[in-house]
Amino acid sequence: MKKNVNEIIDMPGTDPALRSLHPVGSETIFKSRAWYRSLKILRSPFQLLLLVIGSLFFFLPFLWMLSTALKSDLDIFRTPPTWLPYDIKYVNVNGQSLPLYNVTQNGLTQQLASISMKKGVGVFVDPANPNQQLNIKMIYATPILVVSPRWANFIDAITTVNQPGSGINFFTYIKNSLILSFFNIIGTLISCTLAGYAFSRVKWPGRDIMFILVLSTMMLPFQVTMIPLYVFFSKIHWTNTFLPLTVPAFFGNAFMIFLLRQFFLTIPEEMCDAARVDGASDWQIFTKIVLPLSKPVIATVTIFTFLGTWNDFLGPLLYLNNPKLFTMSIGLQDYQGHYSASWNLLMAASVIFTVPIIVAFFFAQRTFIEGVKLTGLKE
Amino acid sequence: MATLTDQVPSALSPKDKKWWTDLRSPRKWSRTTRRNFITGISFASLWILGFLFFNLYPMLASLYYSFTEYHILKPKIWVGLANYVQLFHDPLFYKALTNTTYMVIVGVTMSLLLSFTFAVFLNFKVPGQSIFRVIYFLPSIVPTVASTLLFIWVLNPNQGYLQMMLGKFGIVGPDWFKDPNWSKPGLLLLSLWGMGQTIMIYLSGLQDVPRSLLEAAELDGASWFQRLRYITIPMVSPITLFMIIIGIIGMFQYFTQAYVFSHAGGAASALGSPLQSTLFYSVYLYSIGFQQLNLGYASALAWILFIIIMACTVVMLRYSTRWTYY
Repeated sequence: MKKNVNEIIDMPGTDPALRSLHPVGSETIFKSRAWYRSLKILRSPFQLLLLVIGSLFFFLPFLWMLSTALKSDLDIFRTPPTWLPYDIKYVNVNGQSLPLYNVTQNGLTQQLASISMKKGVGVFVDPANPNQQLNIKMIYATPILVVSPRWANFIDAITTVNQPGSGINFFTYIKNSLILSFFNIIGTLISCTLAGYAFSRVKWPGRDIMFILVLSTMMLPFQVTMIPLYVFFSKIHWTNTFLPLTVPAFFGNAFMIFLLRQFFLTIPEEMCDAARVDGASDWQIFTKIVLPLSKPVIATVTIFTFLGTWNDFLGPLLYLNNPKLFTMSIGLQDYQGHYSASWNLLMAASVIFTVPIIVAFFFAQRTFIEGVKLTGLKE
Repeated sequence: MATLTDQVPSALSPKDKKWWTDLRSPRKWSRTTRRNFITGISFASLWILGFLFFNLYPMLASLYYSFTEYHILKPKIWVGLANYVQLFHDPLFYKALTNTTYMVIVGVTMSLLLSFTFAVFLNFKVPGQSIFRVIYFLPSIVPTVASTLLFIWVLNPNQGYLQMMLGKFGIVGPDWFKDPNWSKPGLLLLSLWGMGQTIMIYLSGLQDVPRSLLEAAELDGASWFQRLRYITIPMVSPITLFMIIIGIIGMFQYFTQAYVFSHAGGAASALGSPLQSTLFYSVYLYSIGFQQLNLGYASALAWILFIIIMACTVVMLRYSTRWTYY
C-alpha cells in the first residue's frame, strides 16, 4: 500500500525542511489515487476487527472472573454456564423471604412461592393470596431466575475462616502481604539506590567488574541458591518468620540496581561536579541532587518490588508453614485446597487479590510500561 | 536510556580489559582514586554483602551439597559424583526435562510469534488504540496464583466458558486437567494470556524503528509485508534475542502455575499430575528437595539446571550474531 506524499510529510517525525518543501495540501506532484483512498477507509475497520478479536482473548477471562465472583453457590455449577450471575427470585410473603417458582399445572402457569418441600412435594403459596397453601409435586415447578449479582461473595471471601477454629481469614493474608511488601520496598530502595549510585556516579577501580557481577547474578536461578539459603535460615530459626522474605531485600536486587544505575547515568555529570567543586561530599550529592531528581525511577522500583512481593509464591511456600503468616498467594492456594468447590468465593478472593495491582497500574501506567520496557521484568 | 536488551550481550562479553588494569596496582593509586574506591565500596557495601551471603555462598554451598548425600537434620556424607550419576539414570529427571523442553520450544516460540503479531496490531493507528493496549497488558500483572486459579476455572470441562464456546461450534473440548496430553497446552494458554509484557516490549521496539528507513523503503516501492520482513523484524531482533533468553530462563524456573495447577485435580493429586505431564524441572526439584528432603540430590538438579541455562544463553548469544542487528 503506497502512501500519498502529503501523508508522509504530515507524519510526525518528518523533517520540517521536507514539510516546507511540500506544503500540506499541495497535490501537484503526486496526485492521490482514488483506489488507495478507498483501500485506506477499508483498512481501519479491518485493523479494528483484528484488535477486537485479540482483546476478546485477553479480556474475557477477566469478565469470567468477575461474573463468577458474583454468582451464587448454585449458579456456578449450572451447565451450560452463563455469563451473567443468576439467582432465584425471592418474594416477601408475610415477612418471610421465599423463593419464587413457575408452577405449571393443567396447562396453567402460576408464579408461586415455595415454603417447604418434602419427598418431591412442595408446599407453595400464592404471593397474592398468602393464606392458601398448595401441595404440588416439585416436577411441575421450575425456579424463576433473575440476574442478581451476589456482592456478598466479596465479604464472604474475606471473612471465611480458612482452617476451622483458627480464626485466620483473608484479612490475615492481606495484612501479611502488605507487611512483606512494605519491608521489601523499604529495603530495596535503601540498598539499591546506594548501589546504583556507586555504579554510576563514583569512578572507582573495580567498578566495572562489580557491575558485571551484578548483571550475572540476574542469570543465577533461584533454584540454585534456595536450598543452602533454606538450610541456613532454618539453622538460625528464621523459618516461620518474615525475616527470610524481607532481610535479603536490604542487601540489593540486581534488576533494581541496574534500573537505578541506568537512570542515574542520565543525570548530567556536570551537576554532580559542580556540587563537588562547592565541597559537597558524595553522600550530599546522593541525597541532595541524585535522589530528588530520580523520582520516576524510584516509583518504578517501588511498584515492581511491590508486584514481585505481592506475587511471590515459592518464597512464602518454602519459609511459611504457619497459616497465621500466609501471604495472599499461598493463602489463596491453600484456600483452594480446602474449598475446591467454592469457585465463586475463590474468584471473589482472586479479584480482591488482583485489584490492588490493577489500581496501582491505573495510577502509574507510565511507570509500569517504562519499567517493563527497561527490564523485560518477568516474575 | 539504554535497556537491558542492549546491556546484557555486551556485559556478558567484556571486550575491554580495563577493569583489571584498574585493579592491578592499588599502591600506585592517587589519593583521589583511593578515596573514590572507598566511597564506591561503601555505597555498594550492602549489595556486596548481599552478593556474598545471598548469591556466592549459597551457590558454592549448593555445589558442595550436590556432591553429598544430605538429608536435612542428618550429617552430610560425601558421595562424589553419585548424585549426578543417579540423575542420568532417573526416568523422572528425563520426564521433567522433556516436559520443560516442550514448554521452552512450544511456549517461547508461540509467545514470541503472538507477542510480535499483537504488537504489530497495537501499533495500528486506530481509534481506541490506548484502550486496546491496556486490555492486552492487564492480564500480565494479575498475580500468578489468581490467574492460574482463573484458568483452572475457565478451562473447567463442565462449567468453564471456553468449553461452552467450543460447544457452540460443535467441538467437545478436552478435560484439561485429567488428560495428560492437554495439561501442558492448558498451561501454555495461561502463559499466553499473560504475555502482555512481551507485547509491550515489542511495541516499544516497533516504535523505535526509524521512520526514515520505513519511508525510504516505501518510496522504493516495498510493500507492507516487505517492510515488515526486511526492516522491522531485523530492527527488533535484539529484543527477540533478549526475549528468547529470558523465556528460556523463565520456563526452566516455571513453578507456581504448575504447582497450583496440579493441586486443582483434588487435594490428593501429586505434583506433576495428571500422569507427570506437568512435572517440570523446577517442580521436580522442589519435590525432591522439600517434599522428600533429599537436599544433596536436589542441589545436583539445581546445578544441572544452572548449567543448562548458562549453556542455552551462551549458545543463543553466540549464534545470534547471524540474525541479530545492532
